[in-house]
Amino acid sequence: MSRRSGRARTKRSWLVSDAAPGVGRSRPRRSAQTRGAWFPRWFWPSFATPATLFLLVFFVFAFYVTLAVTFGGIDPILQTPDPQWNPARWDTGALAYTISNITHTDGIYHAAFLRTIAYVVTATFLCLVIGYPFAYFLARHAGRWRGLFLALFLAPFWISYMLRMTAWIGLLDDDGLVNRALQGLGLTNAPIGFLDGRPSTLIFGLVYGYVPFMVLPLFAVLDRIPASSLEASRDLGASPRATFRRITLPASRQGIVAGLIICGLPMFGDYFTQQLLADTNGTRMVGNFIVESLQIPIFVARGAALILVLLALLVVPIVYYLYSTSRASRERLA
Amino acid sequence: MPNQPMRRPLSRRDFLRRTAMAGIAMPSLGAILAACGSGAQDTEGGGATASTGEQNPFGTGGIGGAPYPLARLDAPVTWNILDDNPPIASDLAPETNTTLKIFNWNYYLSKSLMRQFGEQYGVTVELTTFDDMVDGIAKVTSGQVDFDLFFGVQIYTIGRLIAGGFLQPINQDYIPNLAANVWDQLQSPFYDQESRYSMPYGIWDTGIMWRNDQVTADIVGLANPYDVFWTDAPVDKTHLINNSRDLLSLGMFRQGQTEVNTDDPAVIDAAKQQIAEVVAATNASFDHIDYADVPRGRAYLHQSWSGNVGSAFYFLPEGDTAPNISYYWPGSTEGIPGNVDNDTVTILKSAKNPVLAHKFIDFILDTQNATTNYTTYTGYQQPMKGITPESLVGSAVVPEHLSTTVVSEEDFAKGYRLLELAPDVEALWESAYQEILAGV
Amino acid sequence: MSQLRSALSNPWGRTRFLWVIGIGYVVWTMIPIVYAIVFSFNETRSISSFTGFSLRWWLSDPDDSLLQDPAIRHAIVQTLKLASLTTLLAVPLGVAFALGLDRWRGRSAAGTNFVMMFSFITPELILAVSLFLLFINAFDVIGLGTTAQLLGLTVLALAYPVVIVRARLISLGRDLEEAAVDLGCSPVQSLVRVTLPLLLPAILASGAIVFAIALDDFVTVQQLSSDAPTATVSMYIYGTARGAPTPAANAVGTLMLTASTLIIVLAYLFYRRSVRRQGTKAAPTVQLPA
Repeated sequence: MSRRSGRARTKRSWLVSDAAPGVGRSRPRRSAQTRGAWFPRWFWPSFATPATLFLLVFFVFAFYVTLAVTFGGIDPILQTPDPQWNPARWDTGALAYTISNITHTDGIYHAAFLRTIAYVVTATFLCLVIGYPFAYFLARHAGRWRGLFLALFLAPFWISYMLRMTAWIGLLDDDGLVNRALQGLGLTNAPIGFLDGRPSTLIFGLVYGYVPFMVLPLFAVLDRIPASSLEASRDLGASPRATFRRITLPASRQGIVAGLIICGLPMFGDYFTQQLLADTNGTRMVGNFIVESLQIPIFVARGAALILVLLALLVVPIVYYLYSTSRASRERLA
Repeated sequence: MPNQPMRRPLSRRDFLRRTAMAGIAMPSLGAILAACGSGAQDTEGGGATASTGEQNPFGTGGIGGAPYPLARLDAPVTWNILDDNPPIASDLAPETNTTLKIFNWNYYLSKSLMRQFGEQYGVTVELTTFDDMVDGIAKVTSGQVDFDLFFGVQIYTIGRLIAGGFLQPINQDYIPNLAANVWDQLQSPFYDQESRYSMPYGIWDTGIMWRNDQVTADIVGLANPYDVFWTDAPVDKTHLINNSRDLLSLGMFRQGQTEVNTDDPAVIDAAKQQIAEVVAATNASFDHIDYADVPRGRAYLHQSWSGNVGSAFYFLPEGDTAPNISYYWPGSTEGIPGNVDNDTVTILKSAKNPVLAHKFIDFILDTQNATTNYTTYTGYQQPMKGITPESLVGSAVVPEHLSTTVVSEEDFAKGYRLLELAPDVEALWESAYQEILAGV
Repeated sequence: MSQLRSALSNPWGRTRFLWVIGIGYVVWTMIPIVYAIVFSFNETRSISSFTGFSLRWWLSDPDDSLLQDPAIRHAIVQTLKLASLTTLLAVPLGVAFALGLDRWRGRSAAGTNFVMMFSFITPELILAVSLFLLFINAFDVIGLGTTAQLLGLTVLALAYPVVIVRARLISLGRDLEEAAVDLGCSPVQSLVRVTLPLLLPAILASGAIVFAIALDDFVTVQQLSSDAPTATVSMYIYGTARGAPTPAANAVGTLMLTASTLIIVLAYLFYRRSVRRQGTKAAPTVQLPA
């Protein structure tokens, strides 16, 4: 009935915030008939229900299907996977095979796993090295050109990734622009086979594709550093390097962590960059093995097992990221 | 929940029902699995003369080792026509106002012919492509697609498709061109006697394609032409075919091993070692895009199907005779074995336009259309009586120096075929292939 | 060198070095794009050597040009279809979820949020493969195809509206809503009349982002595709790049690029105008969970 804020907050009035009470309202209400203040507890959470159900079905359950396929059997005629829905009857053969092939030095996935980790770590580090200065520039030094630079920076997000990679194939080809420029400048005599299956080309491709994901969180965090802190540091006599080391860097730490994860994690699932830029055995990544296993019916269970192993590997950074962002958002609210 | 008979390829229920209808007391599934397991290695591929003894519900003939008969040259298979999958009736009118959906390899069916057929029958012809046989099989056996025609089905995969109930039997009343135009030896081939479920499409041999301005070895003159991969292959510019059968058989043929449908792990392993040597020495890539890669210099030495040489002309400027491309089939050399093969066109059981599908097959088995298909687009011969090797040399896709790409009937009889393997044997081959890819 | 050093010793400086980085980064990003656009007008089939200007791949080549090749047209239609439908599905779901989560306390809320953020950070390949197995084995009634692709893209993109709208809700606070309730609105009315209009820029921004994600997605749509009409532009370009690349792919990419740029520019202008009209301290950039 009456919802004067002077009244004590009831448990059921969800709309009352934690703000200070007691602000008197003497203005008469507009409508003669006010709806009740009481709303069942489920009203607001019910808004979240459709999305929750959606995720339960198409995300959580999908993982269960992956488990069922990994631990399932094989149809006798077509050799296609036959998922086992009952956990009691799960057969760990495919998972055991996969894990042993990852851990043993002569296992078929062993080299690929090590290689993938090496590529991702290198590429992520390079993304940081390139992305941090650019984010810093964008946040603090672009000045009145900031909008333009921001737009140009965001452009790759809506330009087809495949198109950009295909362009690199043309650029790096034996008779492409890069080789012709190198030969024209006299730096080499014969064309360099960039696309012949070199890890460096692959890492370059990964960096090119994923560096925007490093810049974004860094930019967001560097943008938030108040200019007053930097000014104060300068006024107190710190050199620019010290200011950077003591003010900027610690403040951007969360952004760095977020950037490393948002930029690095997707690289683990990348397979198409390898296929486009460096398609030989020596550069195959875990993602390649996964997609290929799915095509050969007898190996689908192994592919599903690879997915699970990859997820297990990544769950630590994933959970750390989720934990740190929820803590960060709580800190910001406080 | 998962076993919805409507969409599921072949549930256990269907399998047992089918065998019951064939009036045979079928051993239990467990027994079948046991038989398919380690026990059934008693039949050497290609050497067995008898079938497994007990009747197989899917067909007669062939050798054992799988739930369905495995065809061999001396053990031909006649597939059964089952009651729940009859051929369509004769003399039906073709469907109109519809889309004929074709599922095929890339660059393996002339677009202008598809357009022509569409105009002739007043329908749209839509092409979906797959990159490799495994991809195509995976799509079709997922049961999620309703293509009408499945082109380029290899004979080493056709048995499982028939047994799995994915193909429908063909009513030959709609396809007079089979008897009229196709080579006699392929009208009732050993893998599908009476052409009940398939019609022959492309033929080829598997040889070596190279850039003669970059690779100077005299491949044709070598005592064993296959050796070039081991002795003279250019680093970073050597490519091999990306499937287990073609790749490992290269290793086998090099050693003079002609049994390329073997189940002997030692032979497979030896072949694997051979190929691993090539890969280690040259950082070889695996693909079959030789038609694009060799002309533009991404590859100088390529293990190739002969038809891919012809395909290359589609990518070259008109009038270009590609003088810097050469091809040779090692099987032409005295005493050296090589692979020849043909593939098939089939009609899927899920086809929405079966009459049109039959008509299309008849259309593509017309000699004139086959010639157009071959010489203007695919580069793959079709086994037509009216297409002689002599008539082809001099055409746009067979310039004089590439007359080696033409497969004659004698070559076809001389070469060795890649045939269907039992599932566990296939697992051996696939594992060996995976090991090559993984570099172990 | 001393000039450089003096430029560096200025704490507000380091400008020259940073400007080099700034411009260098942008140029490095843009080179392939410009290259791709230029080569779409190449007169021969090559994507590495430009011989002459021609509209062949746009209009005239009878089999492979943008205009004539049905595969390309289908790819464009499918891409736009999937992008629009995903936006229509993901944005309402995500906004509702953000609203609900904002007012919900307790463990179950944290748990649901955890699942949502987990879907955000999981590598796309893992999502795509799980969905592939799902639609083949469990939901084969739906099966692969456009519906599966739509559902997959929605799972992928769902977290973005949630994150953006939640951030906006947090920065808005409850004051205005409370005021509305005090003035006599019911909670629902307050939601519709006060909160949603205030959220409009965030909703639109998340819509634009979801659209962009769905437009360019590759891994998920490829895994869940069935036949040719379900191929998207990204799949088409990938297919030709792996096989025999033609400039027609560049032409398609250029077309999509131009269309996207127009849409983004329009959206941004609209966003700016609506924010200015609201007069709130809406930040011009998107808040991220960092």
